[in-house]
Amino acid sequence: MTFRVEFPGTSWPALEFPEGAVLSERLTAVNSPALFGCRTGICGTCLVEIEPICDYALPPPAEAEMEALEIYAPGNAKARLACQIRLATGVRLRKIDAL
Amino acid sequence: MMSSNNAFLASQYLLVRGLRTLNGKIVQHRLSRFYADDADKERAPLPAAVSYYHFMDESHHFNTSRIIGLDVPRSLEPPTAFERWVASRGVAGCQRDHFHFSILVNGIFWCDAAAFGTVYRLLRSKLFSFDHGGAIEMMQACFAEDTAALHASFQTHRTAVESYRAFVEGVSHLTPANREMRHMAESDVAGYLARTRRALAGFRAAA
Repeated sequence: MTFRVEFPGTSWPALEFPEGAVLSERLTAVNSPALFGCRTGICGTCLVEIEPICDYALPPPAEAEMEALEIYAPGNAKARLACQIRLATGVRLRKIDAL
Repeated sequence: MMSSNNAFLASQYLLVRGLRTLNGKIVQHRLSRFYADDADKERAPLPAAVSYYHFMDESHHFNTSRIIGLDVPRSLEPPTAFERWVASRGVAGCQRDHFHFSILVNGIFWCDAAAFGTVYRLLRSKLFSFDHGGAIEMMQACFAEDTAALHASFQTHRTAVESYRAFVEGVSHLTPANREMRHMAESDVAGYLARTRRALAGFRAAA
């Protein structure tokens, strides 16, 4: 099974990745608006807003990611660190800046 | 010395370090996965563990570079013309250092011609047992031909160029040429082949 990753509001074409694909291993600055920094869930370089394309939700952020999100995007329920995402559904992804 | 008692210039040292470490992690992250995904970490091969901890170390470097290089300047007075010039020179130096891409190590931005002597000695060693002609022929095939390895290394370089651009996208005190990584973006396959063919001809004549 593959899942679609869309980048609304940009000219980047949508991509298809297999279920379980780790975004930090699939997305680059060449094929997407995403930029990865530390890739360990700390630096916030890959801060994005993510929403599922269909009814299936992504697994919620782990405690450490949640802690980082409270610093970088407090109150934004759609915010995630892309480096921590393993695809479990199709998603729309928007790059956002840390506060 | 130039950054002595100057917080802005000191921060820009970390901006340049942030750029430089972005490149490393494109490859290091992949290498770190062998250990990270290993179910039996106690028995994981040591090189895999070294790659993982090296990656963690580099990630720490990146975190500090991002905070000090990008975030701290927002809390400082706007840079003077001199400070802007120095920051841009720092990024220009990074672009020069990272202009080349390497077939020897995909993801390392060194000039392969600098390693010709070492590669030749390796090929002539007992490990490979090439005679002089065979060693030169192998080097010709590896470095002077249009190969899949060359294109794979070039692709990594392109990813780095785009990543560097994204990293400094909002850094308005850099000159456009440095924000857009124009010098690095000039590096291409045809240029690599022209330079290494020239260097290899010189190496062959001297060997």
